Amino acid sequence: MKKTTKILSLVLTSILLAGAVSGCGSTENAESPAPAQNNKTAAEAPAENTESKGTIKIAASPTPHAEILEQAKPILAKQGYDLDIVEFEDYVQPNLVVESGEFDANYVEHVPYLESFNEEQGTHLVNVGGIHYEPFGIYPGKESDLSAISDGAVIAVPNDTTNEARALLLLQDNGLIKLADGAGLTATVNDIVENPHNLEIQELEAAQVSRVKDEVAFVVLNGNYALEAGLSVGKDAVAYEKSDSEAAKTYVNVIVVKEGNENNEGVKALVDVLKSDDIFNYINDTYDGAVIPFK
Amino acid sequence: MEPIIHLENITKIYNEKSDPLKALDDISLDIQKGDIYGIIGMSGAGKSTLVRCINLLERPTSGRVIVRGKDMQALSNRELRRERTEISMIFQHFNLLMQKNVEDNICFPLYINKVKKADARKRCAELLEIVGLSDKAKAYPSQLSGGQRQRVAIARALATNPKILLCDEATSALDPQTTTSILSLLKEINARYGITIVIITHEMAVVREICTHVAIVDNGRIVEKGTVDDIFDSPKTEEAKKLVLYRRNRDVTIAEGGEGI
Amino acid sequence: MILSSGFDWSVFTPKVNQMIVDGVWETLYMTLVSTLMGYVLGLPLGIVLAVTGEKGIAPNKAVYGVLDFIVNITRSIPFLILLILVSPITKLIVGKSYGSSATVVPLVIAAAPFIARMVEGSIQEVDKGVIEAAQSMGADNFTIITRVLIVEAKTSLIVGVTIALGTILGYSAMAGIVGGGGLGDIAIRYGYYRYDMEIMVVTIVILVFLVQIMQYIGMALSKLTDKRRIK
Repeated sequence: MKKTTKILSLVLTSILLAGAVSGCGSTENAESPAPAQNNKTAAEAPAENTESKGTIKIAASPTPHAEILEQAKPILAKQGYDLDIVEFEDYVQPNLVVESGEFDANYVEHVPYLESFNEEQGTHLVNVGGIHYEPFGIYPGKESDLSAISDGAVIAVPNDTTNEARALLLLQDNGLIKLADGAGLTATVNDIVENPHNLEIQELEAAQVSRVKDEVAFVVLNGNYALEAGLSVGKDAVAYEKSDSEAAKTYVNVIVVKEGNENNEGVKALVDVLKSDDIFNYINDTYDGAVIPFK
Repeated sequence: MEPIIHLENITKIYNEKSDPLKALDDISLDIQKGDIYGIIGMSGAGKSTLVRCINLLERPTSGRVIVRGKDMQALSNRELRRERTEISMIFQHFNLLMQKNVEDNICFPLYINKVKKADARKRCAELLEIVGLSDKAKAYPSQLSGGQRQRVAIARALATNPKILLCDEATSALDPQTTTSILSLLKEINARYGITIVIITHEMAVVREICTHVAIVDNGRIVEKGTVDDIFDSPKTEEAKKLVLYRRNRDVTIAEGGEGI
Repeated sequence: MILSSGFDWSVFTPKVNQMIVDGVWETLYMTLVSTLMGYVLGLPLGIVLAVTGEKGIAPNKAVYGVLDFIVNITRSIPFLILLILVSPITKLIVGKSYGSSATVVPLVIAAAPFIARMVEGSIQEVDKGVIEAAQSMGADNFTIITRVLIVEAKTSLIVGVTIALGTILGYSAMAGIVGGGGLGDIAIRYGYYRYDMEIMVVTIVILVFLVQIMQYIGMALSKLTDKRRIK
């Protein structure tokens, strides 16, 4: 019973979020660490001669964002910064609280989402550094060899804007289809101009894609849904977005601050730490390919 | 002679468990073949329940119902349904199928009795002739007046050649003139086909107009019964006096209103 | 705000037009088939509910209790969840768990109890006196159901079909989750997700048109068959 409830809530959350968001999913929301207490951190911080340079208040998605930030926290503490991480389950509030000045930064989104958010909401938020991306992968279903894909094979892809476009771009990168020039980040099946294998692209709600794995030739999944389906990018994917791919560059999750604070010392220190080898190694060791550090 | 309807110590209690309500209290009644038997009482006296005990639309809590020599309560469902085709019923609000035309309404009991369609149509034409609505076969009940609807209901009730006709406040929704015409139709049916008629009413005028016998029901009990002449001439109980007297006064006003009894 | 940016007809490429035409067929297919199947299940279920209910012609607390419970449970589950929960059953019946036909299964499961309730209501409206009259003629329950209840409830039942069609058409908008397609899905994905105002407006106009036609036909039919009022 309890398990059913959990699955239900997961499914529901996924469905609700998938429309608005891409790539920044979570696997175990319920068990992710609670935001650390300000005072406690200050007390635990090494009492060496580091003088306090103030608090950096950051809004973050629970997984992997907040988990990664937790790793950065002690390192920043040594430099005299107190990193105050507050977790958000949605993707609108983190932007609004940064815009309003209540938070110094957030770590929840990728650039296309940030840009469309700025455009729609009239906010003034800027990207100060890409940290990680969660690669899309093509996973085997009834077939397992992309190069020998059968004619008329069915490939299931997510049906929401960014996820569908990313899936189609990945299929294009692997030579399966060709999209119209400029289709880019909003590509739909209507933009397919060449389809040599006569593939049938079946659009499904993102959370549903992995569920039809046994009924179709291949499925294209983003990281969190692959994880939920028990699939590993490293072990199971027949192809995935490389870190130099257009998609990785586009969908890298970034640290966002309000315009004007880009050169803030604290912000700079935060980005530097997140891009350090320590954090890179942590990401690579922890997430098994589902989260890849962005160089 | 054995009565066609024999009710013996009929008691009916509703909601026996929670909030018991005694609708009928130890009623015994014999109705002879060919009688036009009136059962009169104020509303709520239990007369509608009583008449439904005859065809077992209501099952008495205790007592015996013998109709045409048969112990009704001992019949199986199938036998009871068969027996009901011999005991027709008409109602205050006619209870016709509003989505079906006159012909289909009259043929309905014949359909239940698996009469062939052609035969049913033929019988329907005869019945419409009897009730004087031959031109209305294809009309819908909504297109008919109250009196016409009751005539259709009577035709429907007669379709299966019943031996008994139960009339539950059959004229209460009609104006005095129509009431008179329906009553004379019932009288004619009684005379022509020998059908025993049981009339439930709260109108003394109805009883006086056509009944041969009458039972006065009050509070679930029969307070007095006998021939209409006897009861009207010399009511014995208080309830009977009250009803006869009260009704007499009222009958006068109705008569002045043009009922023409 | 988006409207003011003008209506750009150029988005209607042959591919998009084809998608919308397909959407119309998918919507009609899902709605009509699901309503039909919904009635195959829901009509008898609703009749049994009405008949076995406290005031029915054959009251039966056990039967009514169980059916009433099942109907309430199914009606309480949000359609979105139902869509996903029943996918194993869908796969069993249809052979695959995605596509328009796969959507029909959850649509029917969602629609049948809802239809049953409407049928129950329609039948409960039938004049008790007419039922009593049929009983007094010696009609058995089956005859009463087929020749009295359904006949007298006809108008109300037809209105119910009209309501069911509209509701199921609304549900079918969520078909996109399992790749069922249809106009509702196009409106959501292109209009809502992608801000393709033009596609959204066109699909919604077609949807409104479809609902209007269904409504019109349903109401005309119910009026045409209603003999209760003098014309």
